[in-house]
Amino acid sequence: MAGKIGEKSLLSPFMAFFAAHCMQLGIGHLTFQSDVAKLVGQDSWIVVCLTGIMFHLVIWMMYRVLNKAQNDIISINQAFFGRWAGNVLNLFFLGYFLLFGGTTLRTFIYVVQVWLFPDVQTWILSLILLLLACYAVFGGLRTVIGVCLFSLIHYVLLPLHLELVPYLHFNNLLPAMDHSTSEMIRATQKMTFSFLGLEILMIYYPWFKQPQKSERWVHLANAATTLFYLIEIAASLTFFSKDQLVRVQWPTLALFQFFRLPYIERFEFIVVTFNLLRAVPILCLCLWSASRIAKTITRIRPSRTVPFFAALLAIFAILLPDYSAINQVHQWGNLMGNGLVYGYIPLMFVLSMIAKKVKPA
Amino acid sequence: MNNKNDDFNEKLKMMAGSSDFLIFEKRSNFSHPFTICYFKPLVDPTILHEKIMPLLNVNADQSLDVLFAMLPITEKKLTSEWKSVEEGLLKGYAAIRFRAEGNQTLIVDVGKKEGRNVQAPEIEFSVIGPKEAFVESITANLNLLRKRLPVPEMKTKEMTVGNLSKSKIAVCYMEGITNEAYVNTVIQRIEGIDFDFVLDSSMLSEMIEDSKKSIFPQLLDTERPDRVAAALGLGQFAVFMDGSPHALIGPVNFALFLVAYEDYYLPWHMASFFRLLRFFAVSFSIIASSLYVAATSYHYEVVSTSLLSTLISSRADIPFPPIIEALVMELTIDLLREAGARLPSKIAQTIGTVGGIVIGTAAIEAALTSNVLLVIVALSALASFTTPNFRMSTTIRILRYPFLLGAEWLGLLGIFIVFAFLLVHLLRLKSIGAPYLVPVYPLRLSDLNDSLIRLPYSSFPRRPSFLRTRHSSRKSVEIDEE
Repeated sequence: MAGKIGEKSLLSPFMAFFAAHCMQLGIGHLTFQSDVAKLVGQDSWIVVCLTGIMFHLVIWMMYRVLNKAQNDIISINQAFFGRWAGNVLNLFFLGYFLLFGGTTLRTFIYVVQVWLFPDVQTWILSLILLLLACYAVFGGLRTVIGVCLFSLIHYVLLPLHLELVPYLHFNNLLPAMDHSTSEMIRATQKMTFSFLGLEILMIYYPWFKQPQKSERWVHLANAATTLFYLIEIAASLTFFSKDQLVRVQWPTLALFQFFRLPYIERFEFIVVTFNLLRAVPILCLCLWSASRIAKTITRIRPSRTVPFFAALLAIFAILLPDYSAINQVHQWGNLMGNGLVYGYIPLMFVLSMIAKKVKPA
Repeated sequence: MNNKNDDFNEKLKMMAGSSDFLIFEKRSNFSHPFTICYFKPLVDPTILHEKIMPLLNVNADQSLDVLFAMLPITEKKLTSEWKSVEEGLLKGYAAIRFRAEGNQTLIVDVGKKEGRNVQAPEIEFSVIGPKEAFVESITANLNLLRKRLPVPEMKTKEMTVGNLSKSKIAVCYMEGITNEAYVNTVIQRIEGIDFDFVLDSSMLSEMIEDSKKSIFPQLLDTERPDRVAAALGLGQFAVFMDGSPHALIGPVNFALFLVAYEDYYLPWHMASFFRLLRFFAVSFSIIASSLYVAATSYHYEVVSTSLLSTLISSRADIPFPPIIEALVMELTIDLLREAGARLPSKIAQTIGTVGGIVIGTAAIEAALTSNVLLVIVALSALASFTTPNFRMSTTIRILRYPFLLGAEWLGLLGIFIVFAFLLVHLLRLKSIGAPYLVPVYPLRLSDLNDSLIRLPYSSFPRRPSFLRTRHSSRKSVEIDEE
């Protein structure tokens, strides 16, 4: 069904790195330190490693399923569960990606409203960002992944962490492994939210030349994400005391408040701005995959569905008035994501091991 | 037959309706009368009288065939079709007809070759390197190119565009190197042009570019024969047009517009330094004044105290908000530039005095603008002029206005939003089907050695991979394909 991708629009496998990495590094990185520290305190960095490893496992299972079927998850669902049940699952995916994009959009705007412009209207920023995302999505997948590549510019801010080194207290990391297994598991579930996004590769899979080869790039992307979060969590844990960290709502931005260069201060303003480059690729990737799912199920052209989904995202963003509502949606997203990553993908893995051969849908 | 002959004469008579068309019939003391006709302004009378008339007077009793063989001119044709006769006449050929041979007409090129001599390049001047630039004549231009590429692989394909201007166009490429897909695309697009006047390669370039909505040039125009020769060697194609002293090169990418050809004649360290300098100049020129507006309107906190006091003291007496101040100054610079471009060159010198000294100093004294902004605007104007390509430099000058508006709307975030739009636009843009941001995206590591930096020639064993050449090795010894 999705096998009609022209040779010319196929991408090199290493581009999977950018798609996966950008999708993971969403808005979650602004707050995850305090969320996790609330549960496991100084052991948070272990939780980050654990979640990273879990995701490597998930990627491995994901690729076993995909490699066997040589197709995207939309067709696999249809082949495994029949047309109707499969499409219901696909609709779930569609909703999941829209929720993902909508949450990212609203959280980004919320951060802007808190830190930069309290008066800016949600709808106008949503409109502009979604226009931008539609413009990119209409350029095709190649353009979307190009946006991902350029969004990595935000890494120029990473070396600033070196300036913190004299102020870090590595004693804060002790005593290590001081929490029960159930606490660690709950923290891992919490942490999963910041790692979500790799699932999008299940939609993009057939768009790569020799798609099997994209697996190592996705692993690499996950490793890079883990490393990035490790740096962030280590900096936060050793810079703040545990009690302080739990109370800080935006630990990453609070860290950046501390930096200064000879002529530039208040780095958190710049960080908030750079977050635009994290939000836009996620919006593009989500809109693209939602329209792809819609196209496979209903054969409606993306030129119609993309503006429609963008409008849905805008309405979604406008309907969330404050942080408690946003947080509530985060919880839903986390629940769905956890179910997807730790329930659905292993299930598909087992099913695909059992099934002798996936018949083409 | 006779009827047709009359038809031919009718058409010639019709042309004679224009008083610069001359029909000269010689019949009195000859048994073999002949007619010769041509457009007076187009032909060179010396050739006509020294080479053709003596031959004609003596050999008028021979047939046209014999005469054809005897004429000491290469561009000649024996035809009986009115269409080619007409075409020839309009290009400066003379048509010779013997009454005895009916419609058979001998057309021979006696055209006047008027035009500039080859001069030094003015727009892409270089201190080191050859000092020849293209002129308006396509023959002279192709001659300059052929001299640099004395190999039979260099092919040209000639075409004519413009319903009225009938401009001659030559697409040049290297057989066995250039990817035919690009050449075919450009030929197809040129053939698709349906317009009355195509007078310059810049017009042509607008008509055949991929995206007509974009303000970015998608074909590189150059006046340097060495640059065109090297581009052909790399696997690009070049389009020449009669009447235009600029050739178009494609497919190109963004980085190529920041390349001055002198970079290849300077040592590679210096070349790399200048290229990086130009890249930073372009970035600075686009966002400097909008950063000023963002900082002074919204983000006082981001600027450190020592710098802030300078900013505030310079702005203390200014009655306008930063955006008005910046827009006025930017527009002033563009006014100066436009006035300088429109005025005759002798008067244009006064523009420098008026603009630089009078407006600059007076504006600050009158507290219309802060001196910090004046320095920023002047520097960014200077920076934008480092762009080697004229069309790209105008693009960059225009780009700063959206950034200014973005900065006024949402400060730093607004600048980033405009930047993101620009980025997506560039990502979508193509030059004859090749992505515009290559080699950065799609990432081609092997092409990076000649993009924002230029490494030594020994590091270029292959032609740029984004050109998808038929033969990628640049050496006579084959390199193994990876």
